[in-house]
Amino acid sequence: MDVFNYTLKRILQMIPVFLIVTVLIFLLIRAIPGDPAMVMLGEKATPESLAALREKLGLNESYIKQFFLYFKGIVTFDLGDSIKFNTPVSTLIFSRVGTTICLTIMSTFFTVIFSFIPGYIAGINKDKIPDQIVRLIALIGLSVPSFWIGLVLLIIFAVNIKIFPVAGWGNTPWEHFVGLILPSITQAIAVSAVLIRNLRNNVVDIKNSDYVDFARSKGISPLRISTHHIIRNALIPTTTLLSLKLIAMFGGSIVIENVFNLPGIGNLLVNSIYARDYAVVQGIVVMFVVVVMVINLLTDIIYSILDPRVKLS
Amino acid sequence: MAKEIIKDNDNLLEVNNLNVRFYSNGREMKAVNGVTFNIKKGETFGFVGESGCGKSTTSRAVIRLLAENAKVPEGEILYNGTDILKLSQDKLRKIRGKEIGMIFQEPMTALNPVLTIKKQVYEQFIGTSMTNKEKEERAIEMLRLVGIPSPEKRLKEYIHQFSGGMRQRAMIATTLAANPKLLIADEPTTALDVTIQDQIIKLINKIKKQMGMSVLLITHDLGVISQMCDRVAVMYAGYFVETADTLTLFAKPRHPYTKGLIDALPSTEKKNSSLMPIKGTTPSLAELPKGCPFGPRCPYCEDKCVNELPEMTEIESGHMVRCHFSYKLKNASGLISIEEGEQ
Repeated sequence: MDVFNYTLKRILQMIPVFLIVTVLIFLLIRAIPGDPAMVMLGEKATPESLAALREKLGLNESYIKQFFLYFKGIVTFDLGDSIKFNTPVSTLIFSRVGTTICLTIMSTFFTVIFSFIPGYIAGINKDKIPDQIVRLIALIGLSVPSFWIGLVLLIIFAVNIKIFPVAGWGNTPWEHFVGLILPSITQAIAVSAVLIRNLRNNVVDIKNSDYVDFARSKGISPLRISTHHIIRNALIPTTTLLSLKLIAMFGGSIVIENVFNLPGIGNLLVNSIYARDYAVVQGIVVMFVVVVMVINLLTDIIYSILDPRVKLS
Repeated sequence: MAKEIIKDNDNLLEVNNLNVRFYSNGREMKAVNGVTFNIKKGETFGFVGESGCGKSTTSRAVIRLLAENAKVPEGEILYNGTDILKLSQDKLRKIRGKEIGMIFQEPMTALNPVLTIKKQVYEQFIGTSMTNKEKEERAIEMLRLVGIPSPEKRLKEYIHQFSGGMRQRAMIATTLAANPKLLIADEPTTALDVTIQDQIIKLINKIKKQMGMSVLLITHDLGVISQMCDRVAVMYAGYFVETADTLTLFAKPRHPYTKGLIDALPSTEKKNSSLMPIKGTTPSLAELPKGCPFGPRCPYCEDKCVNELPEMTEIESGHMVRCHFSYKLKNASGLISIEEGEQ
């Protein structure tokens, strides 16, 4: 099956998943005890303003009708208005999503550097000193929470040595770039540990495999054996894992953006939850669902390209 | 002296007193002990023995393809007169593939699963001045030689797209593309079913003649030995216990272990008799007995065998045995009988 047909098929399969998730989100919001309008406006709200808000949110309608209104909103990209910012949710998300995407891209870049190189070195030198060091560092990276790493980096590189901003990401592209370095390194450290271990184990298995021995028996240079036989094969599972970790990074942005006070989606989500801005929360969760589904699809396609044994079907 | 020179020219490979040791968890495993043999041009030489007897290790040592924890404390491996053990990595790489090629037991794991057959054949041409067209022609020629139908198409495929027998053919083609003078075939038929086994044996025999190669064959199957080899070495616990030409070995085995192996073969003549296994198990390579390694399992074992390791002794021209009491088997019959006068 070629990639186009496969993609089409997968997109069709996503529709029921998406439907189920929208129902879940709808029900979750409704399952919160108490009157959403009351929660949103606080205890001092007047009956008039409560009634107005209920009317605006459509809370006076039946659940069935509410669901259809909500669903119609999603498919027409009308996710409602934010109560706090008084702007449409879609506008709000679009203005913030760039930061999160930039953060994820830079985090991926650092993750590749932090995981592929040490993972390969550790695997090639199995049980020797470089391997022990890399494994120890990976273990530490695995056991330390990312917000703590972020705070430590902030204290060292923004407070003591003032080379990075303490919070925010400035106004110019260069300031954006500088502002994203510490957050992306933090993200990368949190994700790399798993990838290092994965790659190391792949390299250990592959360097003792028959096909590497066979390649050696052909008199190929050690460099070519590394690149074409060991690295090429070892990276297949690791790359798959990396693309799944993209999802984790997207989710991790909730923590990181708050530690570094970046104006991204994660930051918006947390603020909206505090502010009981349910339309925004709802919109962001729907967007996350779409992102996760798209990344999963891309992962499967990339996997099939990297490994010819994997058939798309 | 003149005789010496002729002998040297005749031998493509000469291995003298080769020893291989493995080290794991602080223990020393004596995997190969004092192995000496030579392979002449155009000859097929076989190693036969049980798993773990050192036959694969010996063959891998020939192109220094041993595991990291292996050491070769003693011995020399002369290929056309140059000692492979003393070569630099760069010079060794020039011998690997181009001079000595190797095929493995399991083609599915020995060929890289994510590279096309074409790419893996082309790797044999690195460093040559061949153009892409010449490379392709040569690769197609090789696939055709080993009997892979529609080679142009199959060249672009991956190993998992081949069937069992075709996989082994693809690996043989990959190895032969570099035109090696010596082919090391490590259990080339073990992973295949019997009919395919037969095809591959015939194929290797045919190609060997066509290309004028020598073959070092490793197998645990005496049947394969009888179909392919000119001369055989029987290995046990890292030692050669008997070497002879194939006919002599089958007709007049003089080591109790060889005799045991031959007797253990199922026979159509002895319909009602059950199989005759060799009792006991092989000794641990970390704790080889002081005397004869086969002693503990040998029906003829005496005190001398327990205390003293027998030397390889030439009992007749080209027939060497490592046994104190090989004369006891002088009149023993093997699998086949050949007409011959008294010795």
